Amino acid sequence: MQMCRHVRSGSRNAEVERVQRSRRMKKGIRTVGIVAVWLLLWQFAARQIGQPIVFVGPVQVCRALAVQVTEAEFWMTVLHSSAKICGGFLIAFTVGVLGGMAAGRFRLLAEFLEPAVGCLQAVPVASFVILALIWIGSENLSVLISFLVVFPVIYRNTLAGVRCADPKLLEMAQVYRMGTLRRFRCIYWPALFPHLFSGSQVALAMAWKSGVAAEVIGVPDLSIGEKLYMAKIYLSTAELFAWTLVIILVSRLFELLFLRLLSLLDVRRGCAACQEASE
Amino acid sequence: MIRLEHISKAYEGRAVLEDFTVQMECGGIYCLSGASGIGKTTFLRILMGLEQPDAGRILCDAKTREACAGASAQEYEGQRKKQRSEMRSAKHAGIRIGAVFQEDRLLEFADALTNVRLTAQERGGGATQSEEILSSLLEQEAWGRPVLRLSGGMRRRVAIARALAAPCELLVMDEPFAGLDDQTKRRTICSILQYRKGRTLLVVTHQEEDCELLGADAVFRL
Repeated sequence: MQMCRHVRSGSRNAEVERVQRSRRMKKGIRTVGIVAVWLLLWQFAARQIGQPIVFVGPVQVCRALAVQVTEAEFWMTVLHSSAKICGGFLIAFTVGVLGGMAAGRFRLLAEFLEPAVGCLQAVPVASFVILALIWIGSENLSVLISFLVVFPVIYRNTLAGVRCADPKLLEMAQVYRMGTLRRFRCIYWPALFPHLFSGSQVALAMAWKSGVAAEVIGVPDLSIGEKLYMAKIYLSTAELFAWTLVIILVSRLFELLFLRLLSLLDVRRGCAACQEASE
Repeated sequence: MIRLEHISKAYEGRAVLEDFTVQMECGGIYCLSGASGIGKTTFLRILMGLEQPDAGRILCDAKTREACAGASAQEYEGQRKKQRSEMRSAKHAGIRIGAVFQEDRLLEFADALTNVRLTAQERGGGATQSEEILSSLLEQEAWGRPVLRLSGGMRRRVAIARALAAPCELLVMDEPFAGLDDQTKRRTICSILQYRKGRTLLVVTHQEEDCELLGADAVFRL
């Protein structure tokens, strides 16, 4: 009887696995199909327009990119821009999280910072870029601009997360006199994490958009912005598209890497930390 | 001895507690009963220092902590310097409290044992004792599951285990047996009495039977 049950449960598992595999495959085929249709539409539109200065198709973009990747300067350019934009993001992330937590703890600090943060969010990136060009020149412009764009998003999300901490759990912690660190790891962090994660997703995209825009205006040496600017000057639309594709790929790669690392600190892992602390 | 004298509390002009006085001797077992919404939870919140009374005072015998916890002479001396005869709450009088709240207030994503150990270790309690207490209240196969996935009754027992495992002088339990069947309730009461270890116990309950099973020294009625 028991053996029958084992056999039945084993075949059911195999069936479930087969259905899941088939679903995954169908989803993969669908995605590839959708991308292929879009690429064909793009190529078709380029052929219809028939003016490479105005619009180029995916084939020409790939050709332009293939020429670029063989040059050492291409990789140096990608590395320089990535380091600056990602650096600005990481500094803003750290300052935003710490500032948001401090503001969540001290209401006066939150009130004090609010006008400055509101101002940072409202002022157009172009105004900042021009001001920053005067203040610090073009070399580290993208670091400052991605910092200024990311900081308010991370700060606000962190503050909202801290304020979302369950007041009943905080009362429990007060009665049991839990230490500050343990309160943070077990009560504040699980409340804060979803806010921080979604804020980071938004901020990552904004960091790249604003960082590259700053580089296009400031035109620092060995930057993606400089290459985009040159492509515009020489009316090289294929190169413009190729560099845009590079920006998308690099920003997506950084986004995946950062979010993967951040998700290691998610709620359940946060509690694993609690568990470690309690052992 | 902890004495709450002439305690009054009102919310938006509506009196919840009026001139309520109770006295608890060190190591005693006490029950608090009364109709729903009459102010039992408010009373506990005042006792735990989570709310301030509008009127009245909480007196705490200067020797309560020493007598209950068996603190060393030096510890007691340090405590005494700070001690005043009139205190606003037991918490401020230096008395450590282990509480079972009306809602369980557990860390949802952590497992049962982690929840019990957390508060125990915060005050220097032993991990072995936490396991011992939890094993008397909850089946071992449920220990590793996140509290989120436990039934209401199981969560209740985890909350009770957490209070019992925390090194404290006063145990305060707000309707600890709500949602427990008769057999489980009796088993839980046995565990509470076993692991109370001479600490003062105050239980809010609607059931007369619970007071008898606990062997209450006195029942306060609101």
